[in-house]
Amino acid sequence: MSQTENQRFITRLIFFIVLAAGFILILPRLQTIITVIVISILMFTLLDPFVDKLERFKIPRALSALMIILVILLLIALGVSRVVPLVENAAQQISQSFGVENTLNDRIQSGIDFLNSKLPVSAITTDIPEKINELTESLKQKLPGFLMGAGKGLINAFSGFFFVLFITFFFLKDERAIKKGIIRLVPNKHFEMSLNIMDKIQRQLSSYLQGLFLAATSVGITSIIGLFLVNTLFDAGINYIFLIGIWAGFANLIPYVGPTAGAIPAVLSVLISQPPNTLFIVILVIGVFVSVQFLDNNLVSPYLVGKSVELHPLIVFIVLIIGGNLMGLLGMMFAVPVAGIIKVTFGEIITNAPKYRA
Amino acid sequence: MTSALWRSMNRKEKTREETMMEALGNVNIFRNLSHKELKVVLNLVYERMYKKGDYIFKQGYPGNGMYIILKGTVQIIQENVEGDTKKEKDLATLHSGDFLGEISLLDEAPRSASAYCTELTEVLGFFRGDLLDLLNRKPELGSKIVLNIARILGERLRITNQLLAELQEKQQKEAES
Repeated sequence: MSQTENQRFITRLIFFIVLAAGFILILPRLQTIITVIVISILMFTLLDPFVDKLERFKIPRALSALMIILVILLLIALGVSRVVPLVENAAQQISQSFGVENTLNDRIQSGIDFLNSKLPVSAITTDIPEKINELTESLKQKLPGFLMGAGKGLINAFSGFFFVLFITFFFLKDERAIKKGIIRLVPNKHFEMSLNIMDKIQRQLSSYLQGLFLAATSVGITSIIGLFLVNTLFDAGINYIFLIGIWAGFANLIPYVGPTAGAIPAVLSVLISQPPNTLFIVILVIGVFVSVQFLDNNLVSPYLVGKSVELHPLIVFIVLIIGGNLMGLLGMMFAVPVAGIIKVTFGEIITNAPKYRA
Repeated sequence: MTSALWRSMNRKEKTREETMMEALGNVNIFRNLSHKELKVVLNLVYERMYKKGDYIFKQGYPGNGMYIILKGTVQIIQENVEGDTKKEKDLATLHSGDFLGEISLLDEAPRSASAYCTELTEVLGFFRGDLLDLLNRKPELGSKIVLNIARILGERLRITNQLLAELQEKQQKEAES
């Protein structure tokens, strides 16, 4: 390398180091806005085909986008008005079953006494009820702060969600102008390649996300049907089937962990209501969720989601950890779709870019 | 000659949009589209400006769509490799109002020639992704365009067949004599 080339290389290196350092420093401050934009892009990709379908009926695009956003708001309002009382009831029932300290202590104490009477030596310490009392006291002290934090979190989530809807509306309405704006920045040399790759990515992502969404809906609906059948045929007394179904559908977005997490509330509901044949009903409920997963893995997902965006289990595991660390449960739910987007983007670039080499 | 002061008052200058609409309307794949439909197409096209010496596309690149020349000159060049040497052949020179690459709206087959700008050139690009999008969103309009492309292809096939028949006839006559 000549001296000028060396200087140019060093200048570029310094520029990239400064840029990377700046990005790393700024990133934590931009986390909220990046999250909002990523979720908006996911929603846009999911909803765009619906807006296109409405346009087929000669409804202007802006009005179509507005109608879709209003339908989502209406569904959320309906969902909240139905789900909140259900959650409230469920919480009350759970607290009635487990929350009364004395009953809980009595149950635990009788269990310990039973075990100690059967075992040759007194193997289990008897200070567990005291520990529970201490824990309850500390929880009572921390509860107001926790509730305040939860309330603040809920307000943040709601305002964030409205931001997402607002941005999604403009993405849907001005899709073409935004695409043209981005393409205008691309130099002539890479213009056709960028346009081609962008189109392919958009088409693949749209079908992938719609597939994920439909698969989650199918898991929710089949869980509700399965639990309803168990309830009707065996008088299982499982409560909040609708709520459990919605949860199972959402949880299904998290691979590996999701199916188990989806089944837990149903099993808990059986344990709380304690029907006469509890063990049999628990086995049936587990059977329902295993069947739902079998249907999803073998019939629904391969057909709807397709194999093109299939991710290696190790990658899924890593992205789940990253998503969970960044945004908790929500991060885990969005981790796989976002990883899918990244895979499709790089896949299309790697496949198509070499075709444009002179 | 009318002075510049009076010219602008007597005759309304064409706006950029009007120029582009006119260019689109002259392209045979957009023939028989209404003014409203042409406006929809106008929203889908990309305006690009190429310097002298720039390639709009190169031979062998995947075909992605067509271009309409608004201003400037484009040379269509075909590169053939004969042994170790590359030979360039000028196929056509296209000017303002001409268009190129319309068959790429249908498939991604590699471009058969390169398009090279011999002066500052402004073009409108219309691409396959947008045509597919149009077929999905406005099937009536999309079908009109696809039907026009089919007509052009049919016409070209007819001409090719005619040329082939003439050539075969000529070869037969030569063989007989």
